[in-house]
Amino acid sequence: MAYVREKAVWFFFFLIIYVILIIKVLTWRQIEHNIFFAGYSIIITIYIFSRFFLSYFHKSVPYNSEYEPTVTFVVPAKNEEDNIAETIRRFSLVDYPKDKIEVITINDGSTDNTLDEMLSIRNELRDSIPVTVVHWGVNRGKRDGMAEGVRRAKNEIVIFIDSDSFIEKNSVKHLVKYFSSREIGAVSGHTDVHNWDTNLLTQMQAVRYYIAFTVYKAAESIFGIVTCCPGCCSAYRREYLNEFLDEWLNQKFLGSKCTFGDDRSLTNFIIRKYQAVYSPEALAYTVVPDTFSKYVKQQQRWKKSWIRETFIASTFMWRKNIVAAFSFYSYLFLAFAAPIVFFRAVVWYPSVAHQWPITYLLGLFLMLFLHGLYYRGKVGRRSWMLAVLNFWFHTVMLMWQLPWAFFTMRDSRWGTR
Amino acid sequence: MLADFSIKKIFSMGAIVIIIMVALVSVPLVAKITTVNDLSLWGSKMRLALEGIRYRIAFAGNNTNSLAGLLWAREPSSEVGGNAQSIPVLLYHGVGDAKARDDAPGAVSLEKFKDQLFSLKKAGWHTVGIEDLYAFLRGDGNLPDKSFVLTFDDGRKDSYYPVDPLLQALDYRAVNFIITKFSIDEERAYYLNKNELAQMVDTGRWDIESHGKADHTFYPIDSAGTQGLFLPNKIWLEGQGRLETLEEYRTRISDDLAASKRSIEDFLGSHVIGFAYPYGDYGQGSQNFSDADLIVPATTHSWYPMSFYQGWYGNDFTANYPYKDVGMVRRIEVDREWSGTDLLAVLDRSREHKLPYDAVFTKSDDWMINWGGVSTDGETLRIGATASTTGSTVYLDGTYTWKNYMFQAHVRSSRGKSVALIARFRDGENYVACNYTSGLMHIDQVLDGSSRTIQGIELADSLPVEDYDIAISVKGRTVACFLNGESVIETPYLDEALDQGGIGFKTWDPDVGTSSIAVQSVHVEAISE
Repeated sequence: MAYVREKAVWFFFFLIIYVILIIKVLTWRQIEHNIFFAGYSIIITIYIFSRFFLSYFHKSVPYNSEYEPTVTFVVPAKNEEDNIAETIRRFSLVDYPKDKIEVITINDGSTDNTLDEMLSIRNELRDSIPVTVVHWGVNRGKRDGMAEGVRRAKNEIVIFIDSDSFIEKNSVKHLVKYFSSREIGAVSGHTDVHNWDTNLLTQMQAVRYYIAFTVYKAAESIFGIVTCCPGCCSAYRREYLNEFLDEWLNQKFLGSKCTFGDDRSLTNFIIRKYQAVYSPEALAYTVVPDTFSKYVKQQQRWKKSWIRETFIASTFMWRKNIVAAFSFYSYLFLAFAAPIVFFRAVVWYPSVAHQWPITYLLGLFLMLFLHGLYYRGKVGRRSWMLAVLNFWFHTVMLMWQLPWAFFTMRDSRWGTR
Repeated sequence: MLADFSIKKIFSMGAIVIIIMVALVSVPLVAKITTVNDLSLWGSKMRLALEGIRYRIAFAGNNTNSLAGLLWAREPSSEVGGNAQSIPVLLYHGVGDAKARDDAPGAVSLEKFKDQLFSLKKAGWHTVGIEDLYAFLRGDGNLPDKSFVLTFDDGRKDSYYPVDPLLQALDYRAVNFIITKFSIDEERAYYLNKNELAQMVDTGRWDIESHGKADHTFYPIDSAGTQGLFLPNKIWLEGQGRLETLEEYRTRISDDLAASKRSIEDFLGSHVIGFAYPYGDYGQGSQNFSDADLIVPATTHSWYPMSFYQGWYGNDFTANYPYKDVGMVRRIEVDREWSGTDLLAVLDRSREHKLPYDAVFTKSDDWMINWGGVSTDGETLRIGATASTTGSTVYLDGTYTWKNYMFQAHVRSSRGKSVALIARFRDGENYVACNYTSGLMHIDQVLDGSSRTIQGIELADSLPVEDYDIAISVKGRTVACFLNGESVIETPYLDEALDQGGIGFKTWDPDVGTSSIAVQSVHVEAISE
């Protein structure tokens, strides 16, 4: 029965792809009327389908016990007295030779007991792994913390872990195994939402995280251009980081110092010369915002760094694989065209021509439904309809954040968290 | 590249891609859907079909107790038998919530419309198409009893979408008279478009006929800019400061009539035989041209064998008869307030009454008012002048086919100068009457509206006012008048044109609102020639 149900999910998944395609075929002639809007519709279809298509061919590298480089965990933290000890304790429990592990944790001007927690966990683990505690009385920012960690690190691989994230025991193995190839400069782990069952908002984010990693990052990973190895769980080759550490630390955009999107920025430096890939087996869990205002702020911060780093990446992406480059520039176009298309279909046409956006909304719904079915097929959780809800929410509400972020780029107040 | 191009993966993905591609190409080809328009039409077709099934269930549900009946609506048993003598034609404009517009009448509500059609179906009435109607009126074909034609004017969207599912459920069909300018030459939100017309024809349930090309709109008809209808009026030529000439008028209306016919025939590949006069005006309502009522029908019939009008009430029978009504077909404009029972009563009274006939005065609906008024208290029929008329003329619907008969009436009382019995009533302008006036009795023959006395006699006594019998008999060309069972006068010289027709009453007095007659019984018996 379960088998049949699972098959049915994938049947509907492909049925929806079929329905979307047939609508495209039947509306093909609309391209004559308006190349911009019809072009948008075609490009977004190709883009989304190609993500699913490519992610299917994503390859996993087998773990080779011959290759076991030394690793350094870098954990910058500010006011994390509740989580910091547990985060670090888990490093001592990972399935990896203890003598190849070191931990550097930076107390970035905390005003609570974070420092005490750090010191006590250092004592607790003194017979297991070496923990270095760096204490800054005045807050300098996460980027400085990460850079300090890299400078003090002595091992080959640097693994950044957010102070509110936890990793699985075997994640280290699955992160480092990719570095056996000299081309690889960074590896992103797979992050799931730790507090997914808190409320509707966190459930929606859980779905979104899952699909963002398994589909979108996996598709980018094929070409080694994962555009963001997130701070919650990613590994970098220290040798390559040192090439541009100062440049990264002092990065300026539009005349002001960049204080957020540090992970995306760091990845961007890597993929200029080397490759960044995604490891679906390296599992980590992160805590996501559980209130709407925190969520919107986080998204706004991400959008700003997305704009900045995407502009930077667009200066060199064309030199990469043709499919990868096409995907990248397509997405750039789609992200900025989306609010225009939405406005035209949902506000302008209904109010001026009294034409209801049936085709647009149907297309949108089908695309969201497709993501939902993918989640249902892969994860099996009943909450898959939330994917539809979340992507809907994302499209209708958050697409406006992009132009907003664009016009407020220089305002870094959002940058603090 | 970190990609896994194993045989297994490529094979699975390839298979899915091929299946989707094949389906993408084949399904539109098989379903003949090649544009998004086709898709939405296909969608609406499905929707209409579903609604049709729903109506079928609803109809079966309140029409039968058996489970099988719920699954399929069966032809309800009725006293259908024999051939129809006449065909009534119903006229609607739209169904649903559409409000009346300046240039179009309002719609009958869906609930009322459903009730009306369900009632007709239950009573055994069924629709016929326009070709069948034409053959019947020409005398070329028989139709079963209780046949009627359902027509819609203007080709509005609300004459198709709410209607078609009901037609489907009841196995009915309908005629739509479209304005080709709005439906074929242009595309308008309010009117059916070309795709919809094609789809309607495809269902096999619709005849698309003509309501003119641009003649449903108003044009200036004098120097003051008074607006008038296209067909009945000469149009004011502003540039030249004159009305158009007769020749220009003829050409204009003829061109429009021809254009709409050609337009439908070219687009649908059908044969258009019917034209409905916009607003039912074939010239009788002309504001500036008295011959219009001759020229408009004549010009129309040079392009269309049949034309349809409405608003004839009181002048003719409800239904249409072979030979009599070939060119000019009368339609019943269904009142938006009528219930199914009301409409059924109209259609039932239009059916031919059989001889011998004894009137039942429980309701006065069967009696059609040409002039004056008629009412009943259940036992007597009271016919008379109204507060604004000097007299009255009423006739019995469904009696046109009567030929040789004796029409007797028992009068309980009468007031006014004269009382007349009518026979061979063809329409309001053609009949014969036995006229009883104080001291005089004469036979009046009315032909094309002009009355002529063809026989008369002076009476010794004046007409009684209480409890008397009067009668008229028609047999071939012989007319005889009776008083209390006695034949009083007779003539064998009735005009040949009055060879058949029904019965009626007439009253008159010089003083307004005075004349009246209370009839206690009406008996009509056939007499052999």
